[in-house]
Amino acid sequence: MRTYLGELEELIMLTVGVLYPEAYGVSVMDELKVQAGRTLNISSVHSVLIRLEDKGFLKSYMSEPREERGGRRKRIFTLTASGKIVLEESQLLRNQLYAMIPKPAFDFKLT
Amino acid sequence: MKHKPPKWAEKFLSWYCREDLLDEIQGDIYELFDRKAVDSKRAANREFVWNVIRFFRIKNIKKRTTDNYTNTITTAMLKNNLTVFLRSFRKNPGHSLLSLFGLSIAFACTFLIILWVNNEFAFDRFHADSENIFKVITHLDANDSYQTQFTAGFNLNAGSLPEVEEVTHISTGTRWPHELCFSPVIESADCIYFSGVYASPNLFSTFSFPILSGDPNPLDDVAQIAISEKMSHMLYGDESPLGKIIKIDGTKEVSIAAVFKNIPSQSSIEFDFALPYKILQQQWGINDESLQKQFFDVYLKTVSNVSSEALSKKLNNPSVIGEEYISKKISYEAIPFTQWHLNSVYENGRLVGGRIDYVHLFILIALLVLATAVINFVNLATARASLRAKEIGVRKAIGAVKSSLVIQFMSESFLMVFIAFLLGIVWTLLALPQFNTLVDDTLSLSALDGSMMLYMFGFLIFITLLAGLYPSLVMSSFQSAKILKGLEIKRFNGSVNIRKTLMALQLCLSIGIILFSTVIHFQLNFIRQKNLGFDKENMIRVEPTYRLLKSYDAFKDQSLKSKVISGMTVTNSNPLHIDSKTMAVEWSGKSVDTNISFQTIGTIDNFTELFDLKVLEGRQFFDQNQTEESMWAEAIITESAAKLFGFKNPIGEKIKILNYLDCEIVGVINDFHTASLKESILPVIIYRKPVEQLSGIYIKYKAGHAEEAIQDINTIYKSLEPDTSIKYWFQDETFDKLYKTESIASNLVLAFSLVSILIAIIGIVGLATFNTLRKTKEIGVRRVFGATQLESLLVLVREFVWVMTVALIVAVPVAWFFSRRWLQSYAYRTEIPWVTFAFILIGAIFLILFIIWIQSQKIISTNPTKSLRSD
Repeated sequence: MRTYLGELEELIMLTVGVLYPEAYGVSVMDELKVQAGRTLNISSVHSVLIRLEDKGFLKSYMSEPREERGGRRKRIFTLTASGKIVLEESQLLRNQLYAMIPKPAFDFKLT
Repeated sequence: MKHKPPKWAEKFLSWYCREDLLDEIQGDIYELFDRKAVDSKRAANREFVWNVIRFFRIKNIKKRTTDNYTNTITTAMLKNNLTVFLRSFRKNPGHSLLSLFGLSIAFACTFLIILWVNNEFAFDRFHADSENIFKVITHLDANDSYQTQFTAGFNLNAGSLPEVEEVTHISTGTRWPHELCFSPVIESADCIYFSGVYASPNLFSTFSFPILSGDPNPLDDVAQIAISEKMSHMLYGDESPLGKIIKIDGTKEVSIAAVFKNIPSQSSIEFDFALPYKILQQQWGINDESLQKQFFDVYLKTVSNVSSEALSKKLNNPSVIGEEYISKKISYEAIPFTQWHLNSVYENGRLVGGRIDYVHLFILIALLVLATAVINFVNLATARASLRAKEIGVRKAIGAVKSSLVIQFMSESFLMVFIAFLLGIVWTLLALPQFNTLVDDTLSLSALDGSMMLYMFGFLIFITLLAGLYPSLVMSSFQSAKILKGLEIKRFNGSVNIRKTLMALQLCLSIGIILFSTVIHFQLNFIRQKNLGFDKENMIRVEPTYRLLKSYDAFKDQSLKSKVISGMTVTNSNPLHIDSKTMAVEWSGKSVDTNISFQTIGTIDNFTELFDLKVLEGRQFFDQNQTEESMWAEAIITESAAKLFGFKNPIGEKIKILNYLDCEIVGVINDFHTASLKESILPVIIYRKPVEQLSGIYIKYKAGHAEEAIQDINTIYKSLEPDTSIKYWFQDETFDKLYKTESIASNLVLAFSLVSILIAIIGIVGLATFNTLRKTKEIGVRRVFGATQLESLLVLVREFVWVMTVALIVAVPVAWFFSRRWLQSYAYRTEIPWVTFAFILIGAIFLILFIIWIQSQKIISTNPTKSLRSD
């Protein structure tokens, strides 16, 4: 079965890639704010991350406990191989489709 | 010190969150919190809470871990529980049957009361628009006090209010012209009396009295009548009565336009026929103008969601009520029709209750009876537990966990309660006919609909929990090692104390109910036997027709020839309950602002003689025929009336009554009760009236010859009035009817107090048996050491002494308090019967001792070696 990526899922996967090797809930949330201007609640980010892990596009491990987190550990996410394929596929599809748009479609004239 | 997030939110998070996700989620939220806390602690707190709530998602919530335990309830186990239950039942059948019996009787009581209460609350609710129907009542401001009448003026202009859809006037009554004699289609048969109403055309659209056949608006036409199915059947058999001509009073012809369904018993408006107002006008001989001045039952049907307060306010608008009534200090109040049946007693213009008081009383009694029965059940169940301690010990030793024991005992209690429930339904069915005669109603189990059944089931579960929880907790917490070594005694004493407390409570309730019902009984006897001031025994009231009154002299002469009839008189009002109250009495020296109600009786010469009233001053009416003028001009007053007038010598003083009758006082007689004993004696004025204008013939017969008297009167009646059948009542029956509600209530309370005695006895028997069993060895040892039988008995009795004392000490003042409150509603009341109270208490003590004695007989009288050797 082919799995499709949602827009937010794709965005979060890309961010996880960008933040390597420090991608976890809060950092992903912050990065999304900076890069895409999207304000998300931490719980939404968290549930997307868990979902992506369930789909096998991300994998995770627990970091060492941190003082600033009240002695709690972080779940650090990294991309998996199938995650990479899925990202590439969607990139490709995008480029392909973009290239197929005929020139006149971009030809904006005052009518 | 670093700022901390709100504790409760933290706790909530760690309570719901999946363990494998908890660490990272907590970490993330804390990190954000710390970051925010630098700027603002409050904002950080807010965000923390918000995040905790946002994380509360199905995916993040703990899953129930089912795989750690195997399912504790299996069919095999349930089967085993059932077997053990049946065995313990068989081993101790008396005990189990007792508690079953007690509980089932209480259930039956509760069911009966639920049926009755349900029926009471369902009154008048069968109308499709019952929520939007209001009854209009009238308050009359008589200076300091208000008088309330349940009628309103015909000229009430409620139709002008936008929210009022329909205004229905209904003229009701118990006598002519509301009660009429109709001849059946079969000739030679006697005519049959039916009572009916005169009503506005929209009677059948305001109320849901379905019309079976004929004109849907039968009262539109002036010469039409609508009759009930029952009346149609009695008059015409299976023939269709539509279009037939009926003669009213043998003169006015009306045609039958419609047949309506019999009025259900849950209706406060009852009638067998309905006629338009035009006929009433003809009957009374009044024109439209004077009709406007009359007061009738008035019902308003409104659009939905109209409050009675708002409606009342609008009714008192000058354009609605009319300036005239405002100047007479009359005001209207709209009351929801559905509440009318239960709330219809007004005192001083305020609602003070009505039947609802009885409804509350019985709900209370049902709860009390149920409580005593449940306490019994709990007591007996915990008592049984001690006998089964070993079983529990063994169960625990072989690995039963506490929850499975609780389940076992709960299921046993459920089984018991369920059987009791079914038995209760059986008792209910058996008792229903008796109960119906007691409450004078037609209740049936079929009145319980689906939702009621659901409630019943909830009730069943509730009782199961109530009755099963304590025993099962006590039993399951026994420690197996201790039980098996026989060391559980200490722990068990705790539950003995709780049992004793419950026992005392139950005894207290039972005795309280018994004492209270004694007071009710005494009061009703007091009423029945109280000297009313006049004679009501051996008297028949006959409803005369106009023709009969015309030939009254002949009727009287012929009747008196009968050996069993000793006298007769005629009045316009029954002295047992005089309907007419008037403030229109003028006398010299009356101050302007005096508003005193008098009751009046119009009658003929021999009234005082026949009713055995004592003439204290002056004389009674002359018995010779007088002229019309002189007849009008005499009045006899009662003592209290004389006192109110304030004349030194009332004889010969002139008074004016009913605004047109000038009378001279010729005599003063003793006071007599003219209403229910709930009300104080009212002053009465007796005046003379021509026979033809009166409405009731009172015939005195020789005691014990009622049958013959009726026969003789009937023969004479037939000869003078061949067209109608005789209608008669016995005065003492009419008197009993005055206290119908009270005597129903008294019967019910008596019945329930018997039940509570029964339940209390069951409780005492159960506990005494149990106690005796527990003390078998102790008594054996005592006997060996030379105690007499009586001394051994005292050992057992000692257990109950405190229970009894406390119960009695608490029950008496409580019963006293409630009895006094109930007695307050009577103007004439009996004293609290302390002597009887004492007898009841002594009786209760002896009964308890007797039960203990009976129960312990076997053990005390057996050879102690036997009881000591057992085990």
